[in-house]
Amino acid sequence: MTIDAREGLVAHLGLAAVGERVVRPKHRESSRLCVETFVETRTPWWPRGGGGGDKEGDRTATKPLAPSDPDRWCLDMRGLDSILDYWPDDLVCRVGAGITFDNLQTTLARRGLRLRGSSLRPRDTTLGGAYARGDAGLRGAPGDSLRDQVLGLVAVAGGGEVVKAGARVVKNVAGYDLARLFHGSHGAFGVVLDFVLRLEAIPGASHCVALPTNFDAALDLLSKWRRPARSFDPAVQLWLNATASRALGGPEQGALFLMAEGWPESIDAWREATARAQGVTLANEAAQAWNAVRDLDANHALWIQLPASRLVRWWGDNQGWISGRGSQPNLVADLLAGSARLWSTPSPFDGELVAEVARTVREAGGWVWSPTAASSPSPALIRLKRALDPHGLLPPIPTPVLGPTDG
Amino acid sequence: MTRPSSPLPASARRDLVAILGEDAVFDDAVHRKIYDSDGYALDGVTPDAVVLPRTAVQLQQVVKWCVRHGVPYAARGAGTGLSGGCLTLGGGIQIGTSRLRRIVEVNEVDRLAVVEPGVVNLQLSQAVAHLGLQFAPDPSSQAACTIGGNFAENSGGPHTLKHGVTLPHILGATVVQPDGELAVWGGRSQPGPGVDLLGLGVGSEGTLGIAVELTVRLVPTPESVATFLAVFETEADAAHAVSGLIARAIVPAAMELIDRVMLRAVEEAFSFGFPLDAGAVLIVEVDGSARDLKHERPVVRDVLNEFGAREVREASSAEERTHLWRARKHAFGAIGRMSPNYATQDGVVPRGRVPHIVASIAQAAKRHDVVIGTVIHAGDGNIHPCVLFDERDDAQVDRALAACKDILERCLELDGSPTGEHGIGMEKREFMPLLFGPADLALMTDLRDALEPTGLCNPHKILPGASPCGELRVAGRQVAL
Repeated sequence: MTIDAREGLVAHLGLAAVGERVVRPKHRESSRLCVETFVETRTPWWPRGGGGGDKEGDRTATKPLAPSDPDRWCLDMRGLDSILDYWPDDLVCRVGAGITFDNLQTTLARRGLRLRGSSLRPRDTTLGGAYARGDAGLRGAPGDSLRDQVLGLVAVAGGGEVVKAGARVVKNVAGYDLARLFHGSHGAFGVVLDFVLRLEAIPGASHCVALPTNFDAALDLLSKWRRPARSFDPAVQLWLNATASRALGGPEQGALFLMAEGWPESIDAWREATARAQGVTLANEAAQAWNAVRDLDANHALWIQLPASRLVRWWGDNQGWISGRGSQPNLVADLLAGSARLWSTPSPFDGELVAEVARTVREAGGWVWSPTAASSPSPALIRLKRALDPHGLLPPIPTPVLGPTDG
Repeated sequence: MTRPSSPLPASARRDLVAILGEDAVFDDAVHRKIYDSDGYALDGVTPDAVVLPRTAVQLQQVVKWCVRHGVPYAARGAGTGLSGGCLTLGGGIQIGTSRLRRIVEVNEVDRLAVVEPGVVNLQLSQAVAHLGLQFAPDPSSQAACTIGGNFAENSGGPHTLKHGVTLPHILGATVVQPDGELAVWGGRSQPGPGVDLLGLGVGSEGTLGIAVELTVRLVPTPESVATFLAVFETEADAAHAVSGLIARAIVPAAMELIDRVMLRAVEEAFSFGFPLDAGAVLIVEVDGSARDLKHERPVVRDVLNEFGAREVREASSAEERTHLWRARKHAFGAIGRMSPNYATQDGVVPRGRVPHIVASIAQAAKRHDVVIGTVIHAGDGNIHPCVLFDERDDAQVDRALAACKDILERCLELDGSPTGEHGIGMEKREFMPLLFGPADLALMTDLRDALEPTGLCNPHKILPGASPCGELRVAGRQVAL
């Protein structure tokens, strides 16, 4: 970026908002101005939220620190952290993309409302960051992810143009849904400035349990519950392997973590039935158990996409050799969503192991997303990238470890 | 090659028959006429030919043939759409998916099914009912509409208030891209990192490719269901009750408002026992565990009474509930008995503004001297006003069109949208500049051009701009919503 352009940003945003390759706008218009400056000066840049991507080892987030890319600027979105509009009759609100989950939920809770989506580390994670990373949170049922709560958004695309997607209605199929462009694409096409979100009333009661069980038994238990399917399903159904469970102070052999929500009578009945069936309820303080799981520190996690029945087989077949490579693998599997986070402590997996994990998952019919490795995007995605980031200033398109694929 | 708007050249026909067989290529006048419209009542476009592939490979070969010869094409499910989305505007081949109707896999543990696009929505739910599962999106046309069509339009339905529209229920799609190559969008898991091509594809009205296999989520059928029929003196009272229920933390599985005109039509057709002197009725259904319903039943009753319901009835049996829903889902068939023709609209308003749009529909009826019967997916703010007319009377047609336009423009004034579940298609392109700015439309154009570089895959849809003339006409249709 030229000195003149930098001074221009300082003049508009104030000295405190412009740091060493970092700019921190506070409003929609100042954000647009920053992107316009990047585009005019052909300065590479990347949008950043609360750093969730950094912690997960997001390969795009580390770009500014890479010696090969010393000129990339960071657009720090945390200043756009307000609730901008609220329509109580519609149960809809509009918020800045830099608001954190916790701040939003705390404010909404005063009105008895909440956003249904969730995320790991919600204290730091911004909505914009979670959306850009495709973070589906910890609730795997259909319609429960952040993606499904976004009714509309305003964004700045890579060419510097401000675009609008969706509306404040809960159902809308007018035109191409531009909101999806920014979901999971790690800022490759632009940055979201604000979201229009669907809200809901906070359920009357919730309860968490952590049942000591290995993966096979956990799935067996869920399978029994699912045959025949029951309408009362825990909203969160995670299985944690021994390492991850112990890290949270949970059972030694691994834990099936469940959280149910609903009317108090239903939750009481569910809690009693679960305790009766399993004989033990390790964590019956909902807030305590929920906080432990949501604050899980999954550094440099691989994201595995495999449905539960395949995931349990894959883990059974592969956990031995993964552990044998001198790492301590942590696995948190979302049995509703059909995905898992896999990471190693104390140090991250090496590239060779990541490639091997990806190969075995691919053979099982799934995908692996890695912080450090990626395949080449397809021709269609390359065309999309060129159209939306015509100067090539934004981070690359995220792709799975093994490709090619279109998504 | 040239693309006549009349039958296919002999060489083209030979090629297509070689791919599909003689019994899957139709270019005679009768078949072309049958496929010249969908549920959109006011325009029609006769395709050059209709083909009905039986396998994904055949469908892919047809697309590749079209690309090689520069022939436009459009996919068609059951033709229940309301915006002309499957019509071959400007000529071309209609590719019907009705013979791709296998349920490939059902996995009850992972709660998913893999289906071909021509599987009828209701048939999937029926096929998995013994497992206690269902496919949640339930358009009123679910007995006819296909899951491929639901994918293309991001369809809704009465029960999507609680379970969401089609998008969250689609995990993956194998798609024949516009260039004829296959791509896999998504997979068998909830979408995570990576460009959300699946999200872009759902609701793209078949303009970015044709799905040949879909992996969909299944959800448990509810343990208990309670269905209420609340009778109101006025539509406004019924509309206000909708907001009242939402404000009380009740998320019904469905909440449908039926106005006086529609009530009369339904009653005459089904003899359900609707009170003909009512201003409107509200059907409210809650579901969940027996304990959930123990809590929710009295709350629903209280709110409905609080907002002026003169009578609240609960369906006393599964049969009565089924009968009630049959009456609701066939409302548009019923209203077809009242008029030679009708045009159905599909607007949306913020749900708190349902009372406003209800008043506006009444004003439009009065202003343009037309009869309008309306059903509303009230919890979603999704209105379906049905404007009655007689196509033999040009003045009536003009008045009907003007009333439709007024209503949709009013939806936009109320911060809504001209379509909630049936898409822009060819019908509503003129509304796009009212809803989106130049930058938004330019980005949509860029997006389409990037993912659809051939210009042949269902062209002239969604985006405004010059387009070739169709064979505009007026025809009576009966469509479920």
